[in-house]
Amino acid sequence: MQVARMKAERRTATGRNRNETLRAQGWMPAVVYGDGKEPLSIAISEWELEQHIRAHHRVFHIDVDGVAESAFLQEVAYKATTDRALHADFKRIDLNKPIDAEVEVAFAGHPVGLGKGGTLVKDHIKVMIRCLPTAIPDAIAHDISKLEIDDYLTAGQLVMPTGVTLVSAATMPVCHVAKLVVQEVAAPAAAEAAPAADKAGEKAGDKAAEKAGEKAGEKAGEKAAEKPAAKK
Amino acid sequence: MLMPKRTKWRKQMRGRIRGEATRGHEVAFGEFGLQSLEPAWLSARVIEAGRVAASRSAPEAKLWIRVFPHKSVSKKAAETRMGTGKGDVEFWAAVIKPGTILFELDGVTEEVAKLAFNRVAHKLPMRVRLIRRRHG
Repeated sequence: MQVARMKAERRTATGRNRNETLRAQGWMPAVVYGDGKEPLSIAISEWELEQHIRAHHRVFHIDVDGVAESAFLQEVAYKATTDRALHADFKRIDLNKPIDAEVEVAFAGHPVGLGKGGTLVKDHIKVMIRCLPTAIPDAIAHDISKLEIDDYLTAGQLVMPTGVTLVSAATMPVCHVAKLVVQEVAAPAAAEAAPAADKAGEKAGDKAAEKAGEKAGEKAGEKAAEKPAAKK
Repeated sequence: MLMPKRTKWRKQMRGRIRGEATRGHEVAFGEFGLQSLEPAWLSARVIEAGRVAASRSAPEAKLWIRVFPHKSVSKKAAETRMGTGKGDVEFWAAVIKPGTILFELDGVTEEVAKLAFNRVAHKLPMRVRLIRRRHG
């Protein structure tokens, strides 16, 4: 990995309002910490950091008012709704000592299980590795084309580049092909209610018809009984 | 529909939605996410409607629902005089701050995810946008 250079200014003004003013001028607040030294508040160019992030740079020589610090870009905080970088954390490092870093696993190939009704589930696509800061890979590529349904790829199966060791547990699942369960969508309430209403209607209708029939029969019987009596 | 299995208290105060989401605002499981851009209450009924819309539009995709309706919302019955206590629980809602990821999809192309989330967006009471997982 290339060691990028970045200029920074020492930042004495802290607090929300002053940082907002800083951001309005195209700068952003950041901090350099670690290595048993006092944390250092700095201001860096927002545009410059974005360019470095796009180029996947993570190791920097930060020039703070003429004093160079070797640092690893530990974390960047973003504004949730605009994706604007708000703050960056840099951790002091020694370029000759190995450090722990998270690296993403780049999947290559189309798993066989996907053609058999499976779906690829990414469990942990980032693994922790240990290596020299200058040897951190952008990603660890792995061919997953042989994965069948219910097959797991674990962190231990990943092929590490030379000089890189795995820190994450070897049994940690990276991804697996699960059988796709298509949930049956429940029928709308109206559709459920309609047959119920029909049944209720039928029942009610039957009862009404029965009652009507009974009444009609009774009346007819009465009339029939009355008529002969009247004739007499 | 989603609702808590049991709660300590039946009814809650309404509260106010202030600020942006500081948690649950990054795509964590899938490749694509539907992010809220406005504060709102999302009822369990709407979450279910979104789930159905997404799963019908992209049946081959893996779908995650990132919000849960924890808040009970009560309502007084119609033509009731004021007083006599708080109304009955009418529905359950998730309190959504701007930036919250509502749904996530994986295993589909961006076009399919766009189509599915567009269908979902039509059922939601707030502006949303599609975002991708941040790599690196």
